[in-house]
Amino acid sequence: MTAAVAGVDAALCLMIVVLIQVIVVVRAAAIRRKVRYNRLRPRTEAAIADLVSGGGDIPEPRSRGERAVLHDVAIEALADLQGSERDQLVSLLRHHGYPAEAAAGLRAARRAKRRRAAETLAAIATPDDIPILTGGLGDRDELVQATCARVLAEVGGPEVTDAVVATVTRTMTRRPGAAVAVVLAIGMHNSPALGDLLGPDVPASVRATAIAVAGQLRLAEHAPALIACLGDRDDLATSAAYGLGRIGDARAVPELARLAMATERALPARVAAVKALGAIGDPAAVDVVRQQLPAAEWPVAAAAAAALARLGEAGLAVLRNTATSGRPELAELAGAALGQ
Amino acid sequence: MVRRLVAARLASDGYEVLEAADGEQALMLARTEHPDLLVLDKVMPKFDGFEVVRALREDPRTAGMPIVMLTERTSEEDVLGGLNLGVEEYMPKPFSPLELSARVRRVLARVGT
Repeated sequence: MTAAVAGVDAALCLMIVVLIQVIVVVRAAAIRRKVRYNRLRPRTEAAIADLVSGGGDIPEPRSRGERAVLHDVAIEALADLQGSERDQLVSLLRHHGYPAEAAAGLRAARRAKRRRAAETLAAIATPDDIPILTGGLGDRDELVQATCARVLAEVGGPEVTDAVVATVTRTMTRRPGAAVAVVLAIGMHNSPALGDLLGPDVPASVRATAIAVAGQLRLAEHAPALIACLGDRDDLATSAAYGLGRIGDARAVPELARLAMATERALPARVAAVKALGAIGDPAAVDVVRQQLPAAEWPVAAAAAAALARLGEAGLAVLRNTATSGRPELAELAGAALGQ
Repeated sequence: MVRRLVAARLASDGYEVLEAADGEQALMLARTEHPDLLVLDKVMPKFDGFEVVRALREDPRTAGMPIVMLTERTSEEDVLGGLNLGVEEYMPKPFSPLELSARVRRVLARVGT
């Protein structure tokens, strides 16, 4: 019995010793890699800075370590660069085979490696990479899918629109930040496709993002879709109203006026509608906005006063009359709006 | 990395470039070396770009030093804040070093250096 216990103890000790040795070896290798990386990095940074200033070339990296440093420094620099210098650095990375390396990385078993490959492609992709990126849309990781979709929205053509739009819908619930970035990329680079995300049959979270993007980017082509959203849920109507105000399409005035007067609707939606009427600046809205001035809800009244100041001479006349009226609370609002 | 990109561009234009690793060092270099122009990043360790500009403007020896500010943020508040402090040029990141070079030339021509 004692001998058996002693045998178990000895085996345990041996295992611990082996484990410690493995940990030491792995740790030492990691430290060596880190030291080598830190030694190479300043030199690589200087080489890239010289390259984009037109003062040199960067030969193909000879080792995996050198490739990794060039990759990291270049990707970091690309985030800060635009214009011909950026194009020059992208060309260098492409010339040194980084797209092929990223394509292989997208097929890796490890999720971290696939994400890194997708981010690399996001920085250096051209239309040549569309097949690889399209493959990435089928990845089992939603972050990889969304990253590939974002790049496809930037460099892809109409042939990939449906797949990109489908990826937004698929990833919005679990990866909302990444999905919003895809919608933004669609709005910036392929704005007609945003229409596919504005329809009533699209999930509300996706639709809300598309509405916000259309408004923020002032995509006038989507004004009719935003007008249609004014009759939808209050949060969507609020966002659509702000967007229409930014776009400044006078065709929205009748529907915005209806929303502004709909006392059964949520307060933020009515305030947004009144503000949008002011931002559009169509004098046809003066009468409706004037009616909101004595609204019981102060935010609506304040928005109406500010909007009237933006509706031309007719709006200013209303404010001047109100400023001298016998209702001090309205006179104060009108006076403040006239002073802006 | 941004610092290296800016320095390399300006050096290749023929300027003598002094580099500072953080806001505190930038302030010290500005006071001791009296450069013809400062290129500042809004986001820096120790003192941010605005703090450096404020300190320079309060010191009569550096109050008129021309400044070009690089920033990742392009909000109206940031731009107006910088311009109110006396920043000559505001450049949002991502940026083109060539464009930065042109702006530096323009500022130096304006102040007659």
